[in-house]
Amino acid sequence: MPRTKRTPQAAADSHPDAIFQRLRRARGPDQRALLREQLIMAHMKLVRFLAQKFANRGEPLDDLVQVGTIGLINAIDRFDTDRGIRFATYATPTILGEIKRYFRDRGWAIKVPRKLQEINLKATRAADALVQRLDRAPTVAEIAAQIGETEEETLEAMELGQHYELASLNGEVGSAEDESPSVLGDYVGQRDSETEDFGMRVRLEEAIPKLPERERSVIQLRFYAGMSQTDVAKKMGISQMHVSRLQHKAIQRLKQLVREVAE
Amino acid sequence: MSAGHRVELRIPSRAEFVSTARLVVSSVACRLDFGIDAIDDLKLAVGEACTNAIKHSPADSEIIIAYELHPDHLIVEVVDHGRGFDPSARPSVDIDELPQSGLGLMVIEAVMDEVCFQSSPEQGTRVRMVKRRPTK
Repeated sequence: MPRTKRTPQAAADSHPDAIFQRLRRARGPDQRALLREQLIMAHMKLVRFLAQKFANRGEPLDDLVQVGTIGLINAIDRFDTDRGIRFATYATPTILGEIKRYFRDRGWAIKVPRKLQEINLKATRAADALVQRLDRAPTVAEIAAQIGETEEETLEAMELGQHYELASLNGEVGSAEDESPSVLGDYVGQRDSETEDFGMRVRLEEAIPKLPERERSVIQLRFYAGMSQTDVAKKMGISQMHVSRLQHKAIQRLKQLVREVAE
Repeated sequence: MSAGHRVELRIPSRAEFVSTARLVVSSVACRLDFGIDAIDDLKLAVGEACTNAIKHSPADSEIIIAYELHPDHLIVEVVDHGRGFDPSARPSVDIDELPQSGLGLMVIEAVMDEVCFQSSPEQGTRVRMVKRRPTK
């Protein structure tokens, strides 16, 4: 369908700068909410574009768009038109930051190197087996097919996996200027983390029933039933954005409750 | 540490080689001890710069990607021999009106610390991007 060409005036009115100017002058919460909504809608294309760049990492695209949208909203609320930079340039790192944090919160900071190590290990074993079977060196495509990973990931793991070698217990940690450098071994083996995790889990399980009903449902569906935000939204008959907000609130509240129980 | 070195890559102007340029940037950034967040930014920027270069240059031409390794920063240059554009004429309209490639340029500017475009019609384009290693 051909796009209707907008008049120059209409285009100028819908320019983010113009909306921000109106937002600044806006009186009353209704008008502010409306303008904020306009800014969100105007930048959803950017959020989707950025979310897509992370779409091949095993998290649903819808969830990435949702967390990206939270980043966008934070950027809208913090943007200062006097800074002289375009809003989209200002918002991009905030949106990306929120998406990266989402992966970090789900353990990806640890998982990425570990995943690369695992792929590296699997690739090495598969390569050995394939040499036997084919009587020649296998291609990366053959190794990737054998272990069920993409070619790019297999190659990256074979190359970078070596950089993430397990840290040696005798390896020095801390900066080079330290007069008495300590070794990693000094920091491990002093606490039984499983016992601590168990204590934490008991506290968490005591805290969950204290959450308001909707927040409790979100936590149970997301983390106990393992559903995506999209599926939780469908089940509860609310928007994904709402699920995301409830989840955020619930986690903040749980942190507080767990601290209170601990004290 | 591999500071002080320069790595150069020449790829055919074809989409399937973008991942090669991305792999090289994660490899060199890893050697400079960049964290995984910064490596994600670099891969994103290099991917966008190469995609744009390929889109705007003839299929039988080459794209050159140069990686300069410094102690606290990495410089990546992407050079094509395409039709080029006038950087001063880049429209600054709202996001909705931006074509995909405009969005790519905007993203590069947002995730890198310094970006400089040299381009002129029919002369090709050189994008020079600097990423400083975040302090730990």
